[in-house]
Amino acid sequence: MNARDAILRNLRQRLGADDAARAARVEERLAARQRHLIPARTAGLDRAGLIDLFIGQNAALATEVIRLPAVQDAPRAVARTLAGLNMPARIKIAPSLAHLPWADTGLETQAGAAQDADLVGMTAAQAGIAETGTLMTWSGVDAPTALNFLPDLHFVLLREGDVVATYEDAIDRMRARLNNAMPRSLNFITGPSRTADIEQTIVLGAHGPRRLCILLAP
Amino acid sequence: MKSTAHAFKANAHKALHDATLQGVMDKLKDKFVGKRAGAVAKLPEFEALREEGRAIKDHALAHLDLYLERFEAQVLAAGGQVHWCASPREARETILALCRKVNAKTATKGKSMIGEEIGINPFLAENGIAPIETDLGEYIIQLADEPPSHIIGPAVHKTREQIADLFFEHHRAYGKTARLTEPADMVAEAREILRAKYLAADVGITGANFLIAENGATVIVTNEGNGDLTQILPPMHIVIASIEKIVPTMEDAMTLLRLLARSATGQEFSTYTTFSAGPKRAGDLDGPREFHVVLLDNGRSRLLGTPAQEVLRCIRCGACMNHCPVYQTVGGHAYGWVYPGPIGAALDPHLVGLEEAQHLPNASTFCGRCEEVCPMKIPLPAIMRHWRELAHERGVGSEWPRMGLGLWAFLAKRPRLYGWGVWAAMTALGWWGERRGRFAHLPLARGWTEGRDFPAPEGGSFQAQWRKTKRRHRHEAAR
Repeated sequence: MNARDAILRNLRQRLGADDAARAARVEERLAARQRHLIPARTAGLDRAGLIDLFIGQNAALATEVIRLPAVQDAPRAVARTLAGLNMPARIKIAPSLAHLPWADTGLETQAGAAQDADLVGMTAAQAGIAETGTLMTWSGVDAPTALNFLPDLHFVLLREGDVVATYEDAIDRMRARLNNAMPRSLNFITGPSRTADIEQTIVLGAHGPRRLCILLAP
Repeated sequence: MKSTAHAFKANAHKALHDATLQGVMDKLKDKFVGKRAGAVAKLPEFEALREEGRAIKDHALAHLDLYLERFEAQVLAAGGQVHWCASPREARETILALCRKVNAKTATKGKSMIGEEIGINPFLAENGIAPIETDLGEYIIQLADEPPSHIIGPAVHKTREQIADLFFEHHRAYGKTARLTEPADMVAEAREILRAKYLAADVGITGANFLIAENGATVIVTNEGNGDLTQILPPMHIVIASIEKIVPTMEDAMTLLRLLARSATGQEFSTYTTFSAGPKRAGDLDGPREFHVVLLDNGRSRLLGTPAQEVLRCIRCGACMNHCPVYQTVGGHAYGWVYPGPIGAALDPHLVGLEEAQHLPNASTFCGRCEEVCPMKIPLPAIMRHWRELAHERGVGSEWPRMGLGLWAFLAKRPRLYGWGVWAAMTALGWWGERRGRFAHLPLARGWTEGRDFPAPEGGSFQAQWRKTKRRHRHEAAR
């Protein structure tokens, strides 16, 4: 008997064998995907209220949030930010953002997977979760995951219409958009990378991005 | 990991006399305790969520076999592989075989308690593969060649100066010549050095905070992003997880995640929570080509149906040890194995044996703080009591306490003999100690008199005084 069979047999001996009632409960639970208690902090908030909460949560996390009048302004906002920080005018963007007007900004822009040399990267978030100011994004052919982690400065484009109240709301959106399929990598990002491993002192940029900048556009 | 739990008493004694460690532990307790309290205060639903968390895990455990099968099916459907291992040895050999398959020279690692349990690092090193810890705390103790002392912050016992020394000594090989003492500078240097290792690694090994049956996803939770760089960049990703990590749905996972960071560090949510399902897909620009989940039993299934089974609800937050007065005083290394503090006292006897871990359930005052703060409502003191009872039944440990308890039980079952014995002892002690009123030394009571005087008895025993008082009341009532 291999380990798999031995372990399962062990479990069934203790939990009650292959019985139909147990199997039915499991199927029911998996199908129902029932939500549990949702914290009340987002209850009754309209889109504007959720956005305010989302921005407030991110302020506490040392994340910069820049509100744009229109999504077309994103490349210019990036260029301005980099100039303000005295950083080289170079950025690696996720292919999903290539359609934005990068040409007039004077930025050297490349679309693709992240390389170590990419100091600045930009990706798109599929949802912003007001509950804790968390971004949700997933992998795809035009959304390479490592671009969220390798760069030193990480820009994220988030649309106001994608700001939701809770994690569960965001997950339901994902299920709807992907026809119930699970992406290869589903990432929740709450603030920039940090560690407190040296005498409990918070230091940003442990391995992931030192700075996180959310561009929030209507 | 090799256990030194049997030497707990000596280890604890050493810890109590380690001035540096005592300084660190003093500062530590306020930080973790205060942060958790702050997070709980900001979430009125926290108590209710604890109950929900308990219900989720209890349901998952009651149907563990079925959820494991579903999880496996989903991993396979996503193009990954699942390897079931009953023992640490099987798990080590499975991981080695996978590494050999891709001719691995180096393997980056996210923090994994299961990795410690099975001793994967020394095993890989013995077999010519260099394991590289990427979590900053794990990296620090890897340099120091020490085991972790806390499950969330493995290097909490280290001071800034000690870490500065370690970096200064080990980073010379990378051309670093300055001894840094500012945390920001040290983190920046570690970031730079580890960046190269992430990119060169042939295999990435992570643990999993949760395994999702619904879609075959493995979940890691980090603040640094080290786990993500470990699992995305190399061509092969190996997840090592124990079987009780299974939760049924995404909704179940999110509820548990609401409890996890708040209980561990006082954050509302950890920086990076990542769900990974299978290897890279057609057209993906990055991601591992191979995705393997190594499922480890190592005695978990044997816990089901026993008085200790609730320990399987643990989500590895570390709140219990943060609030434990014993852990706060002696630190994690004294416990001598992978899991320190109250969870260690509850779990280690099962995993390394009661003989080896016998002191751990006894290293408790049963103050109950651990159970109060456990987000999964694990009855830790009750489980420790279960191990103590089992140890007594099986005759584990020193004869003396058992004989002492046996003698006391003999007397306690014979009240008149007990009463006479107490009267005789009290009279003798009262007579002997009458002059000074107290004893600086007393045979058989060294544990007491080492630190304080023992007062000499005055007057009669409680029972004698009670009888006298009753007689007096009877007289007064009769008049």
